[in-house]
Amino acid sequence: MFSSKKLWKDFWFQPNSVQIKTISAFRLLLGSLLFVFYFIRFLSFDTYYSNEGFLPLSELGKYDLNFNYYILDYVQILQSEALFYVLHILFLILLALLSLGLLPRWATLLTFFVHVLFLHRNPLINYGVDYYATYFLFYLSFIQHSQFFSLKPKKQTIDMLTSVGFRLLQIQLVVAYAYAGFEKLKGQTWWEGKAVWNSVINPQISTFDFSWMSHIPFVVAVLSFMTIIFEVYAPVAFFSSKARRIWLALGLGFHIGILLTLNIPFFALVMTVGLLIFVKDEELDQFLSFCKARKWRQPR
Amino acid sequence: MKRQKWIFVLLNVFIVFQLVVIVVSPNRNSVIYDQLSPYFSWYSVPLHFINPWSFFSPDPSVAVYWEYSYIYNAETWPESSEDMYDKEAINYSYPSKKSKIWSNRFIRDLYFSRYAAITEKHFNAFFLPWLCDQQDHVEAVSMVMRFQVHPDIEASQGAQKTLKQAKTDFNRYVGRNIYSCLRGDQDVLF
Repeated sequence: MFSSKKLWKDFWFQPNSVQIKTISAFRLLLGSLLFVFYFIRFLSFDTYYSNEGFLPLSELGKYDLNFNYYILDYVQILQSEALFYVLHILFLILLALLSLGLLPRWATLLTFFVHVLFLHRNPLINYGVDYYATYFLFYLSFIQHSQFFSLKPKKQTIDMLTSVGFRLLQIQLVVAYAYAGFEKLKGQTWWEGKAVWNSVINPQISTFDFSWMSHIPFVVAVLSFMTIIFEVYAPVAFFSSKARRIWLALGLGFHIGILLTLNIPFFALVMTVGLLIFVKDEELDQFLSFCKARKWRQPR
Repeated sequence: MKRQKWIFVLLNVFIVFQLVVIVVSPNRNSVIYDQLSPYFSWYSVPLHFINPWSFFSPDPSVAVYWEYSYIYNAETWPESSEDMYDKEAINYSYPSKKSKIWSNRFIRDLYFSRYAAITEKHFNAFFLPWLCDQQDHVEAVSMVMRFQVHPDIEASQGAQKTLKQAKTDFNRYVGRNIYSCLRGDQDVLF
């Protein structure tokens, strides 16, 4: 008999639903990407976070783009620039340990808090990767993420917290996709099928000259509509046994497309890695054995 | 066993709470957000769960950059250095008109230039002081904001009109102003 209580319990607390191997792969790739991404940010530390840079701490109170109740106290208790510098180094160490699978859950939560501290310290430079990293790090702090692809793999029984974190991670991603799709539905160029053209022709964000795409307006329109369809239906498709693989393929194409055409490589890579949370362990195994087999066949 | 049950109950409460944050917090213009946000903003704002997920929407943006030149203080300008008027003739743009491939720094510059200049308050508090601080002996900055509107896909097809020509046609800007670099003086000088 249909029982919503059972459905709820199975969805959130069923350990078998957690793809512990793919979540470990997700942790490895995300941690590595974020390490490189924030190492690059660290190279411009003075510009981003010093009082001689973009946003002196004394001026932070004037930032009011989103909220009047910005949590200044949270950042301003740390008046020392040197402390922020040390914190950034700590943050990089934590990310390195995360990618190596040496970070316990409490330390992953600490990584998340340090990350958020930097988001608040200078909100003027944050963009997509920073926002997704926030959610990914938060949910990873629930999950036993170091059972595979780790320098110290820990075999554990999957607990309730891991299961909840895994499901929240999935839901967060599909809701973000859906919102991105719904927001695009407000735009005239998305309805006209010209939005992809407008994106790739913007010299400030395109990687190369894509003016040749004006000769294939039909393809441009299809790509624009496919973007919306992929994003709007993501919440249903990624949880459907029939559509999941199609949506994974679409997502892969979508994010690789962004990687090649738009100058936001880390965003594209982080989102590509994010798709892993919808891959099943056996599919990952198949992929890895395929790669292994290919490697063996290579001539010496 | 009792402890396990309590953890189960607490996790369920947290799941419902987090689901509300995930679903409601991006839609800040909704009535539901207005009604519910007082119950979760104490949590979602400090933890930065506040993203509206509006990438490339409602429509992809156009290229926007500032063209500017500096006006130096003749009284403090050192005689031994290069000619002040030659320096004043140099035109800068921020961020650059074209992207730098795979440059993370460029993307952050791009976001800074937009967030920092999005309102007059931000412009005066963040962007202008930063620009002024980039060089010594600066008295004011002469600036113009340029919007490079995209050529329409049809306008770029066929014909003999090059894309460069189409772009020039659509290149628009708002008026040039001169902004004082004196702290506390936020008025346009001319």
